[in-house]
Amino acid sequence: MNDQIAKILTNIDEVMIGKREVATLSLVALLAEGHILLEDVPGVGKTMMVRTLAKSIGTSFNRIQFTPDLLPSDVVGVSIYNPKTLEFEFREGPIVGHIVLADEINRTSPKTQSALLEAMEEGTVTVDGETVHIPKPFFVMATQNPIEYEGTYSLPEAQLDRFLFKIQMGYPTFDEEVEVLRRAAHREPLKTLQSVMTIEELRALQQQVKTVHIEDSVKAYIVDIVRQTRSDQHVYLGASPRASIALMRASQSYAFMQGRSYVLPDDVQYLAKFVLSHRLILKQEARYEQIEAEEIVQRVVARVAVPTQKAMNYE
Amino acid sequence: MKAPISKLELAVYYTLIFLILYEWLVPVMELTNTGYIYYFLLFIVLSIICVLLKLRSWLSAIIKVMYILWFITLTHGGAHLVQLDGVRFLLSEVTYNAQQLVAGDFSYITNSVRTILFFILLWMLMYLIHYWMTVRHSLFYFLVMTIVFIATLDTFSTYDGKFAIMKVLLYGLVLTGMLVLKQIITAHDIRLSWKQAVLYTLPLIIVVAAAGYGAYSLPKSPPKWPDPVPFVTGVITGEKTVSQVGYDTNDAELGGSFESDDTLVFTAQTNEKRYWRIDSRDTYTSKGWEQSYDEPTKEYITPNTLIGTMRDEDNVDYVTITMDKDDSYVLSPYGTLRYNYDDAYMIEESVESGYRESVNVTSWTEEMIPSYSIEVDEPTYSLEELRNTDMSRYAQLGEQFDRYLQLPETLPQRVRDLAVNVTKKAGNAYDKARAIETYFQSSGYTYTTKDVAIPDDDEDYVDQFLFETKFGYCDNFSTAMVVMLRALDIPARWVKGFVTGDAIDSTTYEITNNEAHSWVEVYLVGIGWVPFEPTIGFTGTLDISYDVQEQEVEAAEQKSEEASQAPEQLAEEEQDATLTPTSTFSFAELWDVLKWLFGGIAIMLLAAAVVMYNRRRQWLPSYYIKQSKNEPQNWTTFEKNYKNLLRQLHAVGYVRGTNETLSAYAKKIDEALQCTEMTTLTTAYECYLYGNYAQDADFTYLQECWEYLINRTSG
Repeated sequence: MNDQIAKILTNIDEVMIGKREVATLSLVALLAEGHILLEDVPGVGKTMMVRTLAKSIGTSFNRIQFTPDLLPSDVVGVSIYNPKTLEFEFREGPIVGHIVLADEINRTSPKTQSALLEAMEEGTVTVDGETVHIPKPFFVMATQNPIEYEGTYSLPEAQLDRFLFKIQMGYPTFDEEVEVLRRAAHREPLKTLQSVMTIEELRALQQQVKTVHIEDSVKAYIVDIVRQTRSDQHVYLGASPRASIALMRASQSYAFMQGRSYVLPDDVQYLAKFVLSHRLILKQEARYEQIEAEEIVQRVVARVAVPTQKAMNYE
Repeated sequence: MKAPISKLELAVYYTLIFLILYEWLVPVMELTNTGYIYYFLLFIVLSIICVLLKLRSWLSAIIKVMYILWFITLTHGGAHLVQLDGVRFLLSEVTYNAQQLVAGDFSYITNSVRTILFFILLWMLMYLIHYWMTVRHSLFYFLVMTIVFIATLDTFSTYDGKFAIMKVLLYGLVLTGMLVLKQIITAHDIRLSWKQAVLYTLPLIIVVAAAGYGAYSLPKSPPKWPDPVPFVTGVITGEKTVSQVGYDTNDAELGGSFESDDTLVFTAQTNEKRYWRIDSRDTYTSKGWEQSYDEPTKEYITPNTLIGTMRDEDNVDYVTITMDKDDSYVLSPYGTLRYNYDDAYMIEESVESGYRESVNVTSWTEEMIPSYSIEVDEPTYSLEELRNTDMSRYAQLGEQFDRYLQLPETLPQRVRDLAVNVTKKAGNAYDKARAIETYFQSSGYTYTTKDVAIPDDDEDYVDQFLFETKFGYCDNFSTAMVVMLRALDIPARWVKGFVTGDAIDSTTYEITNNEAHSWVEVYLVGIGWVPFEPTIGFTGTLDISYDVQEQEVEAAEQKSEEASQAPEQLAEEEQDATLTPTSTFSFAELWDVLKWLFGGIAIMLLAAAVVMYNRRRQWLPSYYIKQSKNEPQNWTTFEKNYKNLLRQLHAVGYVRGTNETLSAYAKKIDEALQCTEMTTLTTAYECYLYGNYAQDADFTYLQECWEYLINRTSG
């Protein structure tokens, strides 16, 4: 595994207990320049995770707590008239930062949601005709309450597409929770945490990820999987080509984290569930039968043959 | 790692090869009527010398081509190559044959082209031998081919390869032994001095020579199977070993297959089914039947005169015979009372010992009587009387019966033993005859008209049938029964004629050549000559009144029921026979024999292939390893090896699902086999398969891992 990545993971492990997979996936997304949607109840350590990540790369993080009365300007920023300069000055909102925690995004109005998602997609914010680039790396970790909760505006599917992964954090196990208590009682690990990487170094890693080789046969494998989601009997709307790209980027990033210079079908298989499940719209029947999108993705992966031959020509 | 073969060694090997090739050439020359064998041998010698002198290939090619051209001009053109005539001849041959070849008229090419082709064949053979010798160090295939070749020629042609096979075997054993020695020496990288080499080879030659001499001088048992060759050659040369069925007066040499022939012989009007008796024979020659006297006592049969014993007027059947075939015999069904015929003809019967032997037209012209009628009252025998034939009563028989007890001195003892064995439970002559008659039906004998053996000079016809072949037709069964009865001192004779025939309606029967038949008459003291029918599938017409105890009657009825099933069988056989077209008999018959040969070989090959296929898990790994040793160590070889390994793992039951990645599968394999090699290999393979540039890899180590795993799969 890549050394610097391993250090970050060790940092997270010191603070978080039993969250290795979430940490890994977060790093995959960070390196692939993607964003993460965490779907979970409050209090399972989402903020802690983001903080640890931010501190490990030696930067701060912005937190936006989404409430029903939050306005788009509260997210992206406002132009304020400066009497001294006699000009309007752009005051950037909390979205302009390296690491952003957008908490409970499904509690705010669709208008504010789309402001956030647009910023995520474009990497810029536009206020009064003025466009401001959000500095890279830019990593949003959004959380949402499970949809059944009251007072939520569920995100439209098109916007869910903007997230590279949707991850469920889940409760810790009994032993893990006891360990959480033990640590919380004695010290505050976050304070003693050292940063292991600079922003520049992270940028460099992000560049390296893009050079990870992905063989044509593996690309075809990705396309096979994504296309199969479109023809599944339970799926109303399958994953888009954007999903194929996402799966490829994530696989490259994951391979890089493993210290490999090429993507294996194994990487694709592992990530498919996290990349694809939130991009599928299931048929009503499937919902009645309580078939989860994750399950459908797993079935699709089980159906598609792994490439074991040297590349064929796909032109 | 192959040690070079010294010239001396090669010279020894090639001398042996030359001797073997000589055995090849001799029969070819003999059978194709080709002369100049020494020139062909010279060509072989020339080739060998070229090899021994290690001439460059173009030089030796030129020498050989020149030799061939010289030979052609000399033998076909009658001139030397250097002469003008020779050159002219060559040029004309070339132009003429080129024309024919271009035109596609291959049948018009001249003999010189054929000769050239034969030379090229020899050339190729020499090259092949050279390859086997120097590269493979093994000549096994060549030897096998040679022996098969000579054996085939020996079997199917006039060429006698008895000694050729022996010589080839001996040369071949010495050669093979020397090559094996060579292989051992090469494998262990030993250097032998000239003396040592001779010392090592000497025991080999002594052993082979001793084995050869032993094999030659030891007694050999005759072949166990009937020889198909006389039959095949008979078909090819048209000699009469396959006869046409029908009534024939010459029975001196029995055996051989016969062809069916449905030529009508005569038509009979009769109320009952009858056996149409013609003639009998008394002397068994161990090959067939002859008659012991030349001039039989003949008695004229006056038309319309009682010649038999009239018992009951009401039982008399009036049989009418209409002859179709021009034959001079006259039929005499059992119980003939009178012949009514046109007195323009004359019928005589030959009578010996007071009993009729045959009836013939002995008119001045000896032509057939177109039509005549017979009054017949077939005798009914009382079972009690039949059984009242104790063997002691035969002691008083007169000399006149001696000729019905005749047996050749060469008759093997086992025939006599069998006769005694078969009849040991029977107390009287009738029961003994019955025992022999039924013996054939229950002892694995088969009725067939195809491929019936002909006894060799030192073989007995009956002995061969009873013990060796166990199949045959009426002649085999009836002769065997007569001989066995005679061995028991019961007078018996061999009778010929026709069986019932095809029923046209309830009283009309058509008798064709297919109905020609032979059966047995046994002399039962106090009764006379009684017919018996030993041939499987035929029922006699013996009429017996069962006037003895009930149990025995039941037993007898059972026998007759069994027998009544037989005619259907016979009918089928006859049908089969008539289906065979007689015009194409030579190739069809030849094919009959060959198809068994080819069929057998095909089945054996198929079986071997199936066995090999089923056992591929066992031999494939070592094959793969052997194969991979010869290939360079690179990614291509590695990929091939890895794929073979996957296939092999699959074959032994480690199935990879199509959705399973190679590394997941490798983990599974490593867990199952308690090793780590599969993951090592798979990681390397994945790097090759999914990576963007070929990295260097420790191929030696990978090869070790691979060999370890693929060997595990065969264990």
